[in-house]
Amino acid sequence: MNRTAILFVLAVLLFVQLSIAQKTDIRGVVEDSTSGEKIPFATITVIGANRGVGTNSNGFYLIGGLSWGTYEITASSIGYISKVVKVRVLGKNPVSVDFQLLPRPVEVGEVVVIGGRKSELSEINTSTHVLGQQELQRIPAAAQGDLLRSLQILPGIVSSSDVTSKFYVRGGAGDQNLILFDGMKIYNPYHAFGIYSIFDPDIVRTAEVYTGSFPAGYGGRLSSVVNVQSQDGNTSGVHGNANINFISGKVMLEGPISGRNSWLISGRKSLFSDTFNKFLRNPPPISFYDLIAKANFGTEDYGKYSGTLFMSNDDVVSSDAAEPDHRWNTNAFSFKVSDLIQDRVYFETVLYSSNFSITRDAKQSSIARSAESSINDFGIRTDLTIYTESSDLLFVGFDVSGISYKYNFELPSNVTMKLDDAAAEISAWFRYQLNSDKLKSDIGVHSDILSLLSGKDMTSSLQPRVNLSYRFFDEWRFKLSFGIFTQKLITISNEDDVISLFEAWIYIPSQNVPEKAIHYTAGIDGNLFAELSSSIQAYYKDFTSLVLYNKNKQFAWDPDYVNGTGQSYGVETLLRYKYDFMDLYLSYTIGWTSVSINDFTYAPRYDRRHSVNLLNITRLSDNFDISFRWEYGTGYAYSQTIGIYNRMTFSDIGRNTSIGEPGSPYTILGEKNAARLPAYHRLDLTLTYNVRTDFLNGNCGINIVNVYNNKNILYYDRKTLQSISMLPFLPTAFLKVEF
Amino acid sequence: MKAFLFCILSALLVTGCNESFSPNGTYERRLVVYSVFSANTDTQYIRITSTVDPETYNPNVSLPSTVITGATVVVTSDTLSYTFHDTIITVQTSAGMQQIRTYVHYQLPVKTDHSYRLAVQAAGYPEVNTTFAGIGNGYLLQVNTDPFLNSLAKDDISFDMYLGKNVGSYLLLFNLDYELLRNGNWIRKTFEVPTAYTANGKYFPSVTPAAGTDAIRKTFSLQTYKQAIDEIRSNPLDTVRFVQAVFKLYQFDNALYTYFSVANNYPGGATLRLDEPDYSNVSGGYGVVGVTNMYTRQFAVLPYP
Repeated sequence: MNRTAILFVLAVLLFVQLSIAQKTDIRGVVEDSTSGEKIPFATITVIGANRGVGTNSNGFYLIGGLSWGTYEITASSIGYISKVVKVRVLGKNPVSVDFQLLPRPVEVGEVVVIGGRKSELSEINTSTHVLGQQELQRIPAAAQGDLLRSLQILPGIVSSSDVTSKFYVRGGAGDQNLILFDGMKIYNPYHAFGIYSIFDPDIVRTAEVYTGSFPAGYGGRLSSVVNVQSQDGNTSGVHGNANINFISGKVMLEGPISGRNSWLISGRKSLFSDTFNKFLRNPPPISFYDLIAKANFGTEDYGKYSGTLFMSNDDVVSSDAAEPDHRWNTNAFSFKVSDLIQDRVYFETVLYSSNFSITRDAKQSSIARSAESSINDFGIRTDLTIYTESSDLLFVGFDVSGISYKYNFELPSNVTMKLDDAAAEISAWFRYQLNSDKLKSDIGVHSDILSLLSGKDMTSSLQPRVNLSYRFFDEWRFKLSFGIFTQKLITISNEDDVISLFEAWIYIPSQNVPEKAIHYTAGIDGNLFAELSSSIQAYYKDFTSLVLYNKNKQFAWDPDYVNGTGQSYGVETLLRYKYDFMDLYLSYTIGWTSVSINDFTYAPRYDRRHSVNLLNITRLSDNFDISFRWEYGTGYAYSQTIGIYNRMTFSDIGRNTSIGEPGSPYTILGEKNAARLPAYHRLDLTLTYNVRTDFLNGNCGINIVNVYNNKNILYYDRKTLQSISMLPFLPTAFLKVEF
Repeated sequence: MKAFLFCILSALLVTGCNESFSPNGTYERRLVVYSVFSANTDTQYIRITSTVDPETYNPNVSLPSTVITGATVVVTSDTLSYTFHDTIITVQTSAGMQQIRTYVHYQLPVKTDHSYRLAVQAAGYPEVNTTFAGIGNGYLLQVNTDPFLNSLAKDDISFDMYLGKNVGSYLLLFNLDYELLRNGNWIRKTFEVPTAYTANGKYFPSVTPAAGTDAIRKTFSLQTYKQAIDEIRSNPLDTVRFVQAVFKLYQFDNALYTYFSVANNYPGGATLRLDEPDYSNVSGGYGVVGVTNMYTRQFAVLPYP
């Protein structure tokens, strides 16, 4: 196996060397002229040569094999003024052309929200969205912008409630989303009650979101990938911003070290946990913080070294001895090296480590049991991007990681059970990206090496990934995609819980086979008019293996989980109307999801039939913005209560006469998830006043959550009969200062 | 633009009316039947109650009495039919002596390998029924009981245990009967001997799944037995005399054991499950109808010096 791999790499390098002997390449980086921040997914076009490429996540691009001559080359990116340079291509040595793009002045700028960014990724892949910082910051949000909540306006992504940023993608469960932050795998990206995720949009440079059929290179999850890259820090001077609102405060600082080197540090802390009293019933005191520190070192050419340290912590600690306490934290770091190691070979490797741990102290609770869980992930990922004379790209890479987890929990008998395990995961992949004028494709294979060596299910070991895109009528694209995905890590939680503070990651029990899904997607994107763009996609997900509760479990030796199957399918539509002072965004998704076990089929908790997102941002004047966001979703599935009876347990049978025991109330549920909660809908409104002076920028404003105070059901406690609504009418104010 | 926004807001306000929500589905009244038929007596009891409409449920008060009276309760076996009668009995419960309403039959022997069918009809409820079968007798053959008679014995107490047919699980209890002198009278007491004394406390036998009818060697630690005696005599002011060691072998049928396992969160193992499943062998209703069979063996115990 090793010899084959080495020969393969040598052959590829030889091919690259031979192919570039008679040609001249243009290459360079695209960066923000004010901050020095690299601009990923910018478009580089050689005017007249019918060649165009996108920058990678580090702002690097390479156009291979241009004939000698003089060209005009354009660099453009959302939020920046495009720049054209004239370049003379001559000689054997590659020509370096770097671009410094000037951010588009807000006064004359357009309003742009999600959907505006075009990239090679979204041009080829059916289910890909690329969001930049500007887009993330403009999406209206409660109290403070948040990455994961912002993603929920994308078609196919739905949330379980207002007070959680957890999301479900195209009928997948909440643990089927792979979340990467600067290469670190983040296992729980949510703060208490999920109203925030741990990702502050101010430090996010880009977020790539794959809602299905993600390309080779991403594995281990069935449904989606969110790949977040943080900013590198400002190389031109020390800058920062501070933000305070009714829930939290934060400070972000960034600046240069010297030359191309920079640093960034950002911290956020909860301040006013009483705000939660507005919408949660007697919430326990909540305290959280997150901190990111990053250092970035650039070489004279294209080399880059960066280290990211990330910490987050949550405490939900009650003074009531009958209420359990929860504490959880994430500690992670990554060290990334990237460089152009040969004329057409771009190398990036990330050493990463991530730890997530959570404890639940039951104290004197009569219901909860103490438990603790942790997962550690340490690994290295390497990507090689090989540029060709055409605009085609070849990607190869591997990821080796060691994962260990612990899960200790108390049984009703007060005996503590301990589960712990460790395993290695090795994956390797290659992708070939064809970028012709009309046809674009991204075809690859993602391989689970250990499964491959074990000789088990080959379609699980060698997972094909195909994305095809064909352009017609100039501005329209027809897309198809297909992929196979597997997952071995799952979370333990009660599917019926709406808010689940404690979730433990474990490996799928050995008697179960890994989860597996096959994605099929077809869609059309294009512009109906110059100002009106549209997209429609149909998807079908075949979950050929899911790990589900064993509904026939009767005894301790029966497995808790068995393998079942499932399917989800639906259609997503997106319309976006963009005019000078206004951006209107409308998405609609209709979907069906079901899972089956032992010939019993039911809708999972997160099956939602219709979802609508309507988003508008209007610039009323140079300083004044108004935005609203309206969400509508038909009710989630749940099981009705159809009766109650006093159930005896015979727990002391043999020692006491059981026939006289009264029992305790037991809720009889109807057919599993056969009923639907009421529809969810909510309108949020944000008024923002922007201040820009020579010394200080910033904004302030008010945000009104749930303008018409619709009582959306969050949770219904069957034992206490208490109904808890989601966020009510909740006005908040915010102040942000940039310096 | 303003008109457009006004229209949208108006439409949203109209749709903003709150829907009333109840998690309850259509309530169907069902019977709840509990009975543990005993092979050791001809007197059998059946408790029959009803489910409660969730709309009337108040979590702050106990469920209202749902005892069903006037039901027709019949057990049939071969050509014989046993009709149960509604009565009130007094039983010892965890809350003390309680009077409970129950159905009783005084002459219904539950015989090994015999099949029985229970049917309950009550006005306003769908009929419920279930079947059950008598389970075989179990017994204990002594291997070593020297410690009861010889304070110098060094081997553990042991038996060969034989379970009967159709047994789903068993519980083997080891009790010491002793008497305490109080005001000139000897008062009878029973002490359950644990299986082990540990730093975390005492462990007692639990209901164990049956594994066939072959002999199973059951051993009780001599050290634990001595610790139990020490515990009984731990109060130096007490005058104690030992009466007998009593071994009780309870056997349960499969239905009762399955119900016990599900209702008690799968004892004997570590489950990752967080839901609350249910089990019933009562067709058309809830509860469980099971069978038990108890075997007892006593040994005289010499007092330890």
